[in-house]
Amino acid sequence: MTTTPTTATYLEDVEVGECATGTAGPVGPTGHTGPVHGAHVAVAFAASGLAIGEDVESSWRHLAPVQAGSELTFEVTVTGWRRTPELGQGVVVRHVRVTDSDGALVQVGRTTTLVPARSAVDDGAERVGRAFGTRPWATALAERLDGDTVFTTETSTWDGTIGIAFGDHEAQFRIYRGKVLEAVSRTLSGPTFTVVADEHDWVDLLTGPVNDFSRRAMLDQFHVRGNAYEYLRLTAALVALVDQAREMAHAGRTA
Amino acid sequence: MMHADYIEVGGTLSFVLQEGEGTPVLLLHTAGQHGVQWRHVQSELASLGYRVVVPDLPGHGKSEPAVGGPIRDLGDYAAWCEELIDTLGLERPFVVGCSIGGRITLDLAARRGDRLAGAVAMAAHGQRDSHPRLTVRGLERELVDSAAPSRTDRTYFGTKAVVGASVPAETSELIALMHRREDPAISSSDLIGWTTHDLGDALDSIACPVHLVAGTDDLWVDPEDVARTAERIPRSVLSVIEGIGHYPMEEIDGFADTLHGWIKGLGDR
Repeated sequence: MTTTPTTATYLEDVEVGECATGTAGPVGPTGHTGPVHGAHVAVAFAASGLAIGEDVESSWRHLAPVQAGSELTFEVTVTGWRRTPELGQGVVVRHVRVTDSDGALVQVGRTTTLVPARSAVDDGAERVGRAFGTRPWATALAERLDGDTVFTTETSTWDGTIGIAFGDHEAQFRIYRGKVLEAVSRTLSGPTFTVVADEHDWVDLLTGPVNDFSRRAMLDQFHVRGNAYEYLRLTAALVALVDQAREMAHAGRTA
Repeated sequence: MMHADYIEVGGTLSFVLQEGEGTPVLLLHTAGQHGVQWRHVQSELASLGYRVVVPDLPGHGKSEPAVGGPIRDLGDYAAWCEELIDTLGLERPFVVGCSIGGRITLDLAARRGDRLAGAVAMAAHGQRDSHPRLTVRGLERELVDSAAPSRTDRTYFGTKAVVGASVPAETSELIALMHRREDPAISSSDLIGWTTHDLGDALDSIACPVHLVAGTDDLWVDPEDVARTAERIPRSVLSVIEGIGHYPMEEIDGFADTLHGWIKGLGDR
């Protein structure tokens, strides 16, 4: 995860994993005291200098009251990036953490923004390393896993399917005796287990400085759906999978 | 000069390593581990004027199993340490422990603080965890080998996960490799002991000075819990160390000097 501001105007200047921080002046109407409505927080976000285009969707989760006059800090992480079919613009998804003047986390949000492209080209293949959860990403990762000695050894006696759920998106890896037979969004018999986390936690893990999957799992950022025994059995294989996904994410915009 | 003995303590033939002469210091290891955790500390500490005593608790390392099977009550370990102290004739020793060793240290301080020079309890507190990550039920399940897959991998990666961010990668790797040598039956029983141990009101009357140590990167022990214990012990001091996790004696380079400073500080209290 980088900390460079995402003040880009064009889609090409935005990358999954980028993080930016902005502040706004006192929130709420002048002279108002007590908690303010969520709409005022949205106004403050718009004034924070973090806008990159036209928001087409946003959702917020309120964790604590926001007091009028508080100076909010917005921390934004890009969690999704894709071009629209006509290629001339793109959709950027961002996770937003809102803290108040005391540093308390008061709100989290997810925004979806239309961002104009500098040029209408299909650069999906170049960006596959950070297209987490997509089928091209799963296919590229599967190729890497087949060449990873740790992963192939750890799954050499295994027959099953690993699911990786990025928020609402899921990639499934059908594995038999150390070989990834198929990497798709849905396998015929479904996953043996699925590793589940919010998009921004996956992005932090896969673009951050170290592979701290185990620590994040202990912190309950990641959890398992399905056969938990098999999940535990593949502990080392999952660490190897994350290692490969991280290498792919850090290999620039190539697989 | 380092020497090792097998000594009968609590009905168990127990491995005890000793080095140096001077003020006795008893060093206690963490759950499932053994005295080897102090290998980079013991000689330097001895050279600073201490008689360093490093036992392997019953069932750990080179010590034979405890009579009656793996111990689930940390108070039993504290009673075993009392017998060891008396057997070796340690006069007013300092006791230093980490994790369950830290809890055993606090238990000893509650039992016989008037006969201790002081105690250093690292990665430990004296009550139940306020945000427990472990349950007796889950640990009971871990005791069934067929229900505990990839235990060595999980110990290896789980150990790395609780080593502090300031620790060099090669040190973290070494700690994890050493820790995965554990006997899971002993480790899980030790952790049941951690989960159920509670010194309660005994904390309020601990007679010796106590230094409590917490690492900011320790996922197992909440520094707030350690602070609450420190508030209850009459003569206590609390250190919260940035970038250190659950194993300060293995994570901090030159830990003998650090510990020497803490012990000297206890003498002033």
